[in-house]
Amino acid sequence: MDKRKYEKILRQVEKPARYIGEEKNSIIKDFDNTDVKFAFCFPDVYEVGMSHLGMQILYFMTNNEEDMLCERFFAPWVDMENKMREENIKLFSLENKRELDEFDIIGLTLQYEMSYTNILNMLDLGGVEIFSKNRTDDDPIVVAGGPNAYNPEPLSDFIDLFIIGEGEEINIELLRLYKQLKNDDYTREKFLLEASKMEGIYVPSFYDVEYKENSRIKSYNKKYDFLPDRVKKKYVSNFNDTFDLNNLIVPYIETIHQRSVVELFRGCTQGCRFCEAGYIYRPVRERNIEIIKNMTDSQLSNTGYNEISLSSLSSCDYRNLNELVDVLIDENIDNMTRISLPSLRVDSVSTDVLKKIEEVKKTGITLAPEAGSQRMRDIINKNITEDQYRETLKSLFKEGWSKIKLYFMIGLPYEEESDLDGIVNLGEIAKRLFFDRPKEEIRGNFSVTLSTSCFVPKPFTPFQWMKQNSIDELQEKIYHIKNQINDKKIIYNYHDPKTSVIEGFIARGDRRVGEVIYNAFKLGAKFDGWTEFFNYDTWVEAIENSGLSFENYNHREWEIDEILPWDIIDPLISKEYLISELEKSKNAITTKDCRHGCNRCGIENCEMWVEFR
Amino acid sequence: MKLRVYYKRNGNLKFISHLNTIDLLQRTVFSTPYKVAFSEGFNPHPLMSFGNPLPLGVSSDFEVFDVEFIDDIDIEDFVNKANLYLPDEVKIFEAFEITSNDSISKAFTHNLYEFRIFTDINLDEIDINTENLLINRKKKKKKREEIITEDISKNVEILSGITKVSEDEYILVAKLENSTDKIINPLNFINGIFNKYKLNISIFDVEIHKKEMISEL
Repeated sequence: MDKRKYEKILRQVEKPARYIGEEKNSIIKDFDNTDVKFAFCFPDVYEVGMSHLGMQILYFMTNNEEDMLCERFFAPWVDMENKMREENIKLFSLENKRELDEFDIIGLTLQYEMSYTNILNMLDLGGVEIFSKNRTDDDPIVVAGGPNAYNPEPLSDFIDLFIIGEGEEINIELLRLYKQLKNDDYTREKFLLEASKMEGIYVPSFYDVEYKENSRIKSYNKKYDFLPDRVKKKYVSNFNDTFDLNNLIVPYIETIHQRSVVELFRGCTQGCRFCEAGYIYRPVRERNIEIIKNMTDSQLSNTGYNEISLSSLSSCDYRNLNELVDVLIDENIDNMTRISLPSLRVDSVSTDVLKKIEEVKKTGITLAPEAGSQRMRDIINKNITEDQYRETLKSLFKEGWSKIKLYFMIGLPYEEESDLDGIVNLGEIAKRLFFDRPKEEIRGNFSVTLSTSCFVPKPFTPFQWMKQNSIDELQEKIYHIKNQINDKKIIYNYHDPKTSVIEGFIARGDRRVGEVIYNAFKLGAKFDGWTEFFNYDTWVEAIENSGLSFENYNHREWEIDEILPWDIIDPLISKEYLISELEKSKNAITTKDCRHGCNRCGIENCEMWVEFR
Repeated sequence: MKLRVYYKRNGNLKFISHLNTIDLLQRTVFSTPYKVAFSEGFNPHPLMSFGNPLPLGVSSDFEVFDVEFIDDIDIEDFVNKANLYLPDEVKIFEAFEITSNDSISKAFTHNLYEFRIFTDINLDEIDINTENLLINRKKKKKKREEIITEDISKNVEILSGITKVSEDEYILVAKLENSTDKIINPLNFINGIFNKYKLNISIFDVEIHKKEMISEL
């Protein structure tokens, strides 16, 4: 790249360090002499993408292979994009500053529906054909994975193949296949054909979809007999035998998280009925203490960080959490290293562990009851009782915490006014518990923040068939809560329902939704997950222009026997199980944590049951 | 033991902010086996102090920070280990012990800057001087920002006038005050020069490099 031009634009943009790379532990290989060039694209700004663990894993895994390289791309902030377009600079990698279209395979991670317009924008900025069908044998292959790949259909016009499941099992294999086929008679078609024979790979162009007159799906027709009727997800069976993430790229600028991160386990057994991650990441597979300890040791010494984050979907479920925390505290007692545990549950285990790790700062803590009333918590199978909530708060206050943040969802299935009142009630309980103590025990400046997001029905959850509330309904619910709060100690925050409805539209979208995403992109939508950029009217126009409607996606109850757009994917959880969970939720019947007995979700040879028995 | 450390920050690392640089240097010091002293109090912080911030995008062969260690340390070993942690474009080139009340701001009075100007305008003929050199700078006044104009001719000196290095590239070297009384921002200075000589050149077409910090006391 022209250095003078590059520096000139960097002098004119906010946070130019987003675009320079060269961070500690980043890897710059000989671009022209490496066989397979993989472009990892995160469709959001640098600070967000750099906090993503999956990227770090794939980055080091791929670069670990001698004949492969992995370089990073993030969505440039709008000021940078404008300068790049003005100066005709294509989207370039942070490592060798090479343009996106010079890579063999472009890998996108799908974390969030509202980043989809950024995907199209990045391809466009990188000089890559947006539509899969227009790409030639000389163009890169565009692949996508991550949680949202479980409903790949809205992006099927743009993505050549989807990776379903855990990338570390498939990615390198896919790149090897590419290297093997990349010779004189290479064609895209041949590569896609061979790739589609691999487990966990979905090539949308090899399937045709027919629709009924009422706009629902009539059938999926595969083009070749050998193709699976449903693409099975692939996952790491033994979590003690994966790639050891001993290193992390250390950004220069403040990112969301700047700390060492080690996963305790994958999967979750809680069975919350709204949570897609709780279903698609099954079964639970734990990592043993020794491996976790070694990884944190190496990461700390390679990065210079002084915080360890132990990550998972529900950290207190790790069977040896107490022992692990003791070991880590003991190891790091001298170097002021902090340990943090995201995703804590509302129960006594959490407070015991918290006592150990939060020695210094005792300010804010976040809990997620998700729903205000017991009835609603039973419907969504969030198994926390009000008593547990009270006990947890009591012991937190006793330990010195004074600022509590509570997460809830509104717009949940079968919701009534009394369920919303329950949210306010939990805030009031917190206040009472804090102040109803002897004066000498009250420390700190109390506040409780009630934060509500709007429920979005997601694929592969028991609520995948449910109707989503309209914007008006959600707005009314927000006011219902807001109007009840007139206490300075109780703060109410809420998410914009408009974003949630667009998210819901895309989340359960079929292939026709691709046109909507394209229209929105053409109308200038980008960074839709950022409130300052999200424009609802743009999306309404995009939907109208493609002849689709919210009614057909968000605001109807889907039929149990209709073909769902994401039925082409097999997450190994059976549909029967999801149906039975839906039935139970109607009657507010809970399902026990499957550690205490198998619930028959459909996973065969469940690793957890082999190990935990 | 208190140490004064000189380092450079060049290449693309000139695009990281002052705060980012502080973070980087703190991580660097922590990566060495030598224990940094912390302040007392409720929220202890490492005892490190830094020279005046460099504007974003300005590279430098001469930056400075002070750091206090609990014990006496092997300075050479510290420098070697710190340089192992640091990226190629940021390196320590000198470190020495100072007494505990030496402060960075009193140690230097001027910065030497090199301005590399890219333009199609022919600057060869211009004989630059700093007489009545005016700059505009932003000043915060009770939350409001206003632009004030001031004469900085006493605070700056041209060391080497505009010299052509290639078809569209010129170099100017100047000494700008950087003392406890006055700090001249190199961007304001070069903008002032462009205004004085009515040169229609964008500030973004100038590469600024700090060569040295000196004391004229």
